Amino acid sequence: MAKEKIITISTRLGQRQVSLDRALRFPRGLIGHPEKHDFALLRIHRDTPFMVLQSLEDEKFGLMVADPYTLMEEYDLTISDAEQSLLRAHGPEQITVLLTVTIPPGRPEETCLNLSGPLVLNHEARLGLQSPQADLRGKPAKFFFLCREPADASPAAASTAISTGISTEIDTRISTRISTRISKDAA
Amino acid sequence: MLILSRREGESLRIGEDTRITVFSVHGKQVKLGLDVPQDTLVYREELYQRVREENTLSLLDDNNDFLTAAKTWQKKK
Repeated sequence: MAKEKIITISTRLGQRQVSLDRALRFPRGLIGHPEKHDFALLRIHRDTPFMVLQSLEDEKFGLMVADPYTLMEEYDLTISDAEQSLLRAHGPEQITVLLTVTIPPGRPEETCLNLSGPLVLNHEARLGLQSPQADLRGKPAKFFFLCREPADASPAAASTAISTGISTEIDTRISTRISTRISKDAA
Repeated sequence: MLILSRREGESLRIGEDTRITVFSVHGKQVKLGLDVPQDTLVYREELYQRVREENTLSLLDDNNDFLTAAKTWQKKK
């Protein structure tokens, strides 16, 4: 196997080394940012469920994200045929989900997960896209979690996930818990 | 903006491979059918705008609130 290619990039978390083999390609960019295609997933700290989806093209562009399954008991989403095709995904076992996290300036206690715009990754093909969810089945579009104890996310589980950063270990662990429904219906 | 009138059952064609058909009009609601290329992603505008705004609010900026929040979470557990 070819030697892993590591690059050093400036990020929102300072200088970081990133393996290009583990970079994520978003062919359509993100919603509102169609020009941003290449990202790396960076861990912030081993004891938090937060990660940064850092653009490899723009050092100032980093989104706070989290694995919903470390914070919520369940989170279901629907992926359209077109999305599934873009991700080259054949089944839920290839899929990893991240949600964006909003931390209002000066009010970290109001930190929430945004449930409407999950980032859906095919961790095998290293492909991603953002998939707006029209149907949250009557649930609120935001999930606040700092005002209560983290769901059943045991610290041990969370730190295992984060400490592996962008390795395949996190992907596997998440995908075993995922309840993604791959919809046969059009969007 | 181009504005066109269509009746139920009538369609619009946008380019060679996109067709939008008015299926029905009931009061304030219009039901549309979209024939689009397989790799075209279609979103409701308000959902698109919502996610776009959430993305902006999730961008890390120059202050360190996100690190504070990360620490707060640690303390809680």
